Formats: sequence, structure tokens, C-alpha cells
Amino acid sequence: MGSVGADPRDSDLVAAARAGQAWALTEIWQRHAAAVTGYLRGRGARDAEDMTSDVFVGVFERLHRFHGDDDDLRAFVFTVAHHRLVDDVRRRTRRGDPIAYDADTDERTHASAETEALERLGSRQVEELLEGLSPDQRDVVLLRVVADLTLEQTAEVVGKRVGAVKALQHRALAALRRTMEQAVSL
Amino acid sequence: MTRFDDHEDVRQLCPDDAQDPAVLATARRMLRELVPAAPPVPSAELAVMLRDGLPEQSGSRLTAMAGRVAGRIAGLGVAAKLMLAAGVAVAGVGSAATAVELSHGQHGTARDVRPPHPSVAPTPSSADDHGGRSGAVTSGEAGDDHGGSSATTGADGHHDGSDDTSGQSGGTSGRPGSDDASGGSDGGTTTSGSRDGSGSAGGSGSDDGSSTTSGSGTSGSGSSGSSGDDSTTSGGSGSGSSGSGSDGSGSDGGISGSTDSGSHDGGSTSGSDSVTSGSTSSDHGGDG
Repeated sequence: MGSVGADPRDSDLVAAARAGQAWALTEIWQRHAAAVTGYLRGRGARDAEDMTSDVFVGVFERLHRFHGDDDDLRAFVFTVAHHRLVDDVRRRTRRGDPIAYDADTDERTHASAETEALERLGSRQVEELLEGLSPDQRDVVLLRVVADLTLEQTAEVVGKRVGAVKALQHRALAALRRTMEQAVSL
Repeated sequence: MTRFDDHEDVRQLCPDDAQDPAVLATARRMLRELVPAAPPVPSAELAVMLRDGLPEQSGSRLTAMAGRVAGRIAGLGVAAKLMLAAGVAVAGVGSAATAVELSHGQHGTARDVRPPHPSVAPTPSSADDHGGRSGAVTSGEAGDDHGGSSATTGADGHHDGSDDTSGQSGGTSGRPGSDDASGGSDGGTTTSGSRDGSGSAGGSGSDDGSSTTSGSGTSGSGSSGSSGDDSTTSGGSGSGSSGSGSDGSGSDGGISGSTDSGSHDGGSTSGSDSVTSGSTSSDHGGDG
């Protein structure tokens, strides 16, 4: 690691990255990539892992124009992720939905895919839980819960007022509570 | 209201706000399953960035753009530069011809609707149209003013091409000379004066290289010839822009010169070269 301490702040990482230090980019990636992947998965991205890489390429390309403190870098990363997701949704809408994947007919299927599917069984339940939310509600919940953003940062990322974000969050939590109560009763 | 019931005004619709933190904590526990334990494998493009770091940003955008423009201009060949210079020279000749035409119109119709320059003090020597203007110019300040204008344009020409000093001075000198001819001579010499004025325009065209012939030929005066020589020595490239400058000054100088030998003053303000050639041409004009 460079001249910065063992646990550098985001602002230090940005400064080091701007100075051409590659380790700073790696550190930014390791800090935020998993959360971005979770956010993209929760929003139903087709290939969340690849899209995460695209998001960080965009983040790094725009890093010279970034101004802010430590917390702002996280919001900046998720802003890029949100825009990337919106672009992906628009692209898919224009091209139409792809054919659903059928593992039985795919000759490229191998054991690791099944293993991964089993590992993600819990995630599948979460996705079903999120399906009861509107896209905006899902955005707000994921940004608040997965990305750990504040209400103000969430409002900045999704381009809405803070009051609107509060309302969306409240409605989303109410919907989640109903869904969980139904699941428990079943 | 949508099926998701996400109306923004929820102040009266949420009596159970107290339950939100508990639900939020539960949702946090569940949704955390979406987050992988480790970052995913980066793509090839991202891996390169993570390995090499961000590319260095060299200077500002303005500097980069200026560098690109300078490089593009420097990359032009001699022929392209000559063509560019020729284009500028043609434009300059056109403007000079327009100026001469304007001076013609003023001389012919004898209606000068422009208000007099505030610094111009009319002198009793202004007998006719020509004389009036010439007298005004002779009165020092006005002469300086006109000369200043021509000198300014001449300076522009200097900025564009350093080698064209002589060419510009030639153009300027041709003009005062011709103007002196028109201004100094009474009445009918107006035509010859205008001819000399066009000659000066040719002299300015000479800045571009083909100039030697036009400079000396049109004006037909020894002084213009010398200016043509100067422009020839000044070199081909880069002189075009300065040629336009001299043309512009040529028009101005034509006007001022046509008024009087106050062009001498103009020449003195415009530079040493202009002084020499200007005096020469004015002498020639006096001869004419």
C-alpha cells in the first residue's frame, strides 16, 4: 500500500488514485464492489457481476471530476451504478426481453452453475420479497439497506426529493412487513 | 395512486412509523444476502485499470486543445500555408478595394455624412472636399489618428507574420503615396489618387508572395517597387496574414493619405519601415 495509513479514508484513496496509484483503485474496488453487486442483484440486473465491473470502470474514468468527502464517494459510486442500471433497463426494453434461460437445454452447463444456484437459493427468496415493491421503492430500500446510504444520499442518487424518498421508504417497509407476516403465517 | 401505494404525501397515512426501524432491521438482515462475501472477479478492462492505475491527466483541457490546434497548424505543408495566405490576401485585397470604392464615392458625391472626428480641428485650408479632410488630417491629431489606425492594422500584420514588416510598410507606403497624390493634387487628380490607392492594395496583396508584381506593377512608383521588394524578401509563408493586415491598413491609410500628406505622420507612427517607405511614396505622390 502507498503512503497512506493501513485503513485509508475514501478521500485519501481518491487523492492517491488521482495521483496514479493503482493500489488506491484496488482498495476502492474492494470496499464498494460487493455492495454494488448486491444492489444490482436486488434490482434484477441480468449479469450483476459484469455490470459491477462496468460501473467501476465508469467510476474510475470520472474520478478526476469527483469532488466530495469520504461519504460522498460511496454515494458517487452508487449514482454511477444507478445510471448504469437505468441504461441497462432501457436497452433491454428497446431490444425486448431475452429468452428465459433453461439449464436443461444448455450444453455449456456444468456443475459449478448448479452449485452457485444452490448457494443463491436464499437470494432468490429475497428477490421474491423485493418483487412486491415498485422499482422506486426497491431502489430506495436497496440503497438504504444494502448501500448504507443516508436519506439525503439516496435522494441524490435516485434524483428525488428527500421527502419523496422518505415516503417511498415507508411504503416499501410496510409492503415488506406484510410480505414477511404472510410468510410467517404460512 | 399506483398498486404499490407510493403516494408521496404519507403524513396522514403512516400511523405506524414506530415499526419502521424494526422492519428496516429485518429487511437489512434479509437483503444482506444479496451482497456477496467478496468482490466479484473484475472484467478485463477493469483489471487493466486496477493494475496500471488511472492515466495521467496532462494539464487542462484548454491547454490540450491549444496544443492540438498548434500541432495541426504546424503539420500543414508549405502549399497549404501558401493557399491559406493567398486566401487571406484575397480577402485583404477585397477589403482594400472596398475601401477605395468608398473613398471614390466620397470624393465623387462630395457628401460626407460622417460626423467629424472629435479630435479634428477644422482648418481654414479646407477648401474643397479633399482639402477639407486633408486639412483636418494635417492638424496633427487627426493625422495621428489616421496614422494610428493604419499603424494598428500594420501592427496586426506584424503579429501575424514577423517577416512581413517590409511588406506592410510597402503597402502602407504605397497608400500614403497615392493618397498624397490625391490629396496633394487638386480636383482632377482624384482619379490618379484612387488609382494609386488601388496600387497600394496591390502592394498589400504582394505580401502573399505573388505580391512583387502586383506591388510594383500597379502602383508603378519606385517607392511601391521597393515595398514590393521588401515583401518579396519577407518570405512566402506566414506573410499572408500580415498581408491582410497591411491591406486593412492600406484602406485606412488610403483614406487618411487621401486627405493629406498627413500620411507622413501615419507613417511615422506605424514604424520605421513605414516611415521610410511612406516618406518615399509621399514624395512620389508629391511628384505625381
